[in-house]
Amino acid sequence: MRGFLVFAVAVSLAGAPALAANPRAQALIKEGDRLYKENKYLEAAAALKDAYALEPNPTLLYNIARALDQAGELQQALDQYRTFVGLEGADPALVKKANLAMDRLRTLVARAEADQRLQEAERKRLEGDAQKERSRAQSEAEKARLQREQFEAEKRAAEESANKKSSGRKIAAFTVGGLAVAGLGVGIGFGVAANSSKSAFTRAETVADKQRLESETRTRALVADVSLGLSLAAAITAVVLYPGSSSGPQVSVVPISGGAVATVGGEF
Amino acid sequence: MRRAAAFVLALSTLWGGCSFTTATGFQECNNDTECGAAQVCLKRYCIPLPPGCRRDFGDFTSADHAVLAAALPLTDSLDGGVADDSETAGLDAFRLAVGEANEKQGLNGRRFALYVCNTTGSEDLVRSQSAWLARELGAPAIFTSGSSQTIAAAVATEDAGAPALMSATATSPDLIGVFQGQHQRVWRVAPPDTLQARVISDLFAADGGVAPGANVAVLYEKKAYGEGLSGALRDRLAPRLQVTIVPFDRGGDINVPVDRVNTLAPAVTIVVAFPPDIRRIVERARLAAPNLSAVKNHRWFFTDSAKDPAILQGTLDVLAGTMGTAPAQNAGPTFGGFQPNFVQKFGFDPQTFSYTSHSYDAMYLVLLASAYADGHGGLSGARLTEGLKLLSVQGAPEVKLLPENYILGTTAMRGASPALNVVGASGDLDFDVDAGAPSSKYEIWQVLPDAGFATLKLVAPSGT
Repeated sequence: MRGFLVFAVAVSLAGAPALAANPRAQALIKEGDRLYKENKYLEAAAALKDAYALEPNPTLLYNIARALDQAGELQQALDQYRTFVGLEGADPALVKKANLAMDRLRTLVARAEADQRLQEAERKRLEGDAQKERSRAQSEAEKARLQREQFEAEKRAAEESANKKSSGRKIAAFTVGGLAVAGLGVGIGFGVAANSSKSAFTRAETVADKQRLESETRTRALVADVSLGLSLAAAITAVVLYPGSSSGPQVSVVPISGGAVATVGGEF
Repeated sequence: MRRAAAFVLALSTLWGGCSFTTATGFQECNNDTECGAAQVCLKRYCIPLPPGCRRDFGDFTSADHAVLAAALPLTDSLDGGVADDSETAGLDAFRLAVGEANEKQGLNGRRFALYVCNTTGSEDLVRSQSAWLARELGAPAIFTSGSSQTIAAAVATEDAGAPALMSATATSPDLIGVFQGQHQRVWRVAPPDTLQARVISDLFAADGGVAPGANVAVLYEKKAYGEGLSGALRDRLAPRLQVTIVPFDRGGDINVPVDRVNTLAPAVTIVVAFPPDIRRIVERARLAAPNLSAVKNHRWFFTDSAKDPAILQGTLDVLAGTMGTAPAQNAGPTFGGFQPNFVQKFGFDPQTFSYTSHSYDAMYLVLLASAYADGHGGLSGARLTEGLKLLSVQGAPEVKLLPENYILGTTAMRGASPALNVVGASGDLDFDVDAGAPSSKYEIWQVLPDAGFATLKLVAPSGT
C-alpha cells in the first residue's frame, strides 16, 4: 500500500468531473504522486495539501493522511483520516480503510504517546538526575573552590607570616650583624691600642712603666679578645639567622577537587 | 655565604692573633745577659741603662745577684774624652775587692755585680745616674768620687731609696754636715780636709817651710772640695802667713786667676785642683806669670787631687821637685797584702795615684756591711748604714780587710752580735761616727825628675 497512492480519484472520478480541474492542482497531484513514489512522503503530503487547497477533494485528504502515515506523522495522519471520514462524499471504501487506519493509528499514537510519556518521564528523570549531578558537581566545585580559597588564604597567611618572620629574621640578622661589625671595630681598635701599648712597653725605660704598660697591654688585648670573640659569635648568629640560609627540602600541599596534591621540592 | 664564611674566618684569625701575638712576651729576661749590652734585667724586664752607665764587673748571669753601684768621673766626656787615670785606678781597686769576695761565695752564695756610671764630673749626670741606680736598679750602696759629686748624689738619692753612699776620695768638711743631715748614710774612707789643712800648716811651719809673714796664695776650684780645703787652709795658715785665696771655675778661665796670683808674688801657691786645670795653670804661669817661677823663688804646692801622673804632661820641667800632701795610701796594716795583689792583676803600683787603697778599703767596708744587712732584714741603705757603724767598734775583734779574712768578717757580721774593728790598706779606719769619716795619716809626696812620685814621709795631723 505504501508504494503508491490511491488514485481512486481517477477511478472514482472516472467519467466524473476530474479530481482536479484546476491544472495547477493537477500538477500538484502529479508531483505528489511522483514524490510519494520516491518515498518523499512529507514532500508528497505537502504537495497534496497544496492541491487540496486548490481542489478540496476528499480523496486528496485520504492521500494526504496516507502520506503522512508513511512519513510517520501519526497524529497528523490520524487527524487527516478523521477529517476525511467526516466528509460527505468520501468514498465508503476509503472510509472503511480510513477507519481501520485510524484504529491502527490510534493504537500507534497511544503507544507513541505512552512511549513519549515514558521518554518524557525518563527524560525528566534523567534531567533530574543530571540536575542533581550538576548540583552535586556544583556543590563539589563550590566546596573545592572554598577549600582552594581557604588554602590560598592559609598559604597567603603562612607566606605573610613567613615573610613577617623572614622580615623579622632579616632585621634580627642585620642587627646582630651590625653588632658583629661593631664588635669587630672595637676589637680592632683595642687590638691596635694593645699593639701600641706593647710597642711602648718595649721602649719603656723604667720598671714602673714596664709594669704599667704590661697591665695596659693585657687589658687592651683582653678587651680586643672579648670583642672579637663576641663579634665572631654574633657573625655566626647573623649568618644562621638570615632567611634562606637553610637549604632543606620544601613540602607543599595543594587541595584539589577530589583530594589534594603534595609536592616536595628543593635546591641542588 | 662565602662572604660570610670569609668574614668569620677573618674574625677568627684576628681573635687568635690578638691573644697570641700581643698579650705575651712580657717576661723579657731572667738575668742581665739575656738583655742587650746597654740594658739590665730588673724584675724580668730589660731596662736600658742611663747614658754613661754599664754593667762593669762581677756576676751578671744570676737573677739574684747582689747589686753594687758606682758613679765615678772616669772621663771628661761620655763620648770617650780624656780618662781620669786616678779614678780608673780606684775602679780597679773596687773590681779587685769584688772579685775576691765573689771567689769566697759572695753574699752567702749570691755573687756581687758592680754597675758603674761615668759622671764625667758633671753634677747633673751624677744626680740623674745615682737617682736611677737607687730607684730603678735598687742599689743599696753607691760609690761616689769627690765631695761635690758625693753631695749631689746624696741629695738626688734622698727620696729614691736612700742608699748608703761611700766615697773613697771625698774629703770636704762639708760632708760632715751632710752625714749628719742624711741619716748618717754618707760615708767616706778618706779623712776630711780639715786634717789635710792641718798637715800642710804643720809642714809650712816646720823648719825649711815657709817664713812667717810670707805671702801664700791658695788657687782653688769653686767646688765643694776646693772651697772646703781652701777655707780650712785659710783658717790654719792665716795666723802665721799672708793668705790670699783665689777661686776659679773648674774647666773655666784660669788666665785671670793666675794673673791675679802673679800680682801677689807669693812665696808659695797652693793649688787645690785636678790635673787638667793644673796643667793649664802651670802653662799659663810659664807664659805670663813671671812671679810664679822658680827664678823668683816661687814654689808650687799641691794637695791630694794632684797626685796623678797626668799633671806632669808637658809640665815636668816646672813641677819636678814639687811637693804635695795626700792621705797616706800605705798607712794601713794590710797595704802589704793589697799592693801585690793589685800589681799582679792590673800591672801598676796602686801608689801611683791617690786613694787607690782607699777605694779597696771602701769596697770591703760595704761588702761587710752588706753581710750584716743580708743577715738582719735584707739589703737596703738603712741596713747597710747600720752595718757600717758596726765595723769600727773599739774592743771588737780586729779584722784585716784582705780576702783571706772575708768569710771570717762576713760570718761575724751576719751573726747575732755583729761588731768588728776593721783595719785596711789605707789606714786603721777608726771612724768618727759623728762625721762618717776616719782620721788618717798623710803622706808628703814629691814629684821626681823621672815623672814618678815619691813618698817622703807619713805624718799624722797635729792634734789627732
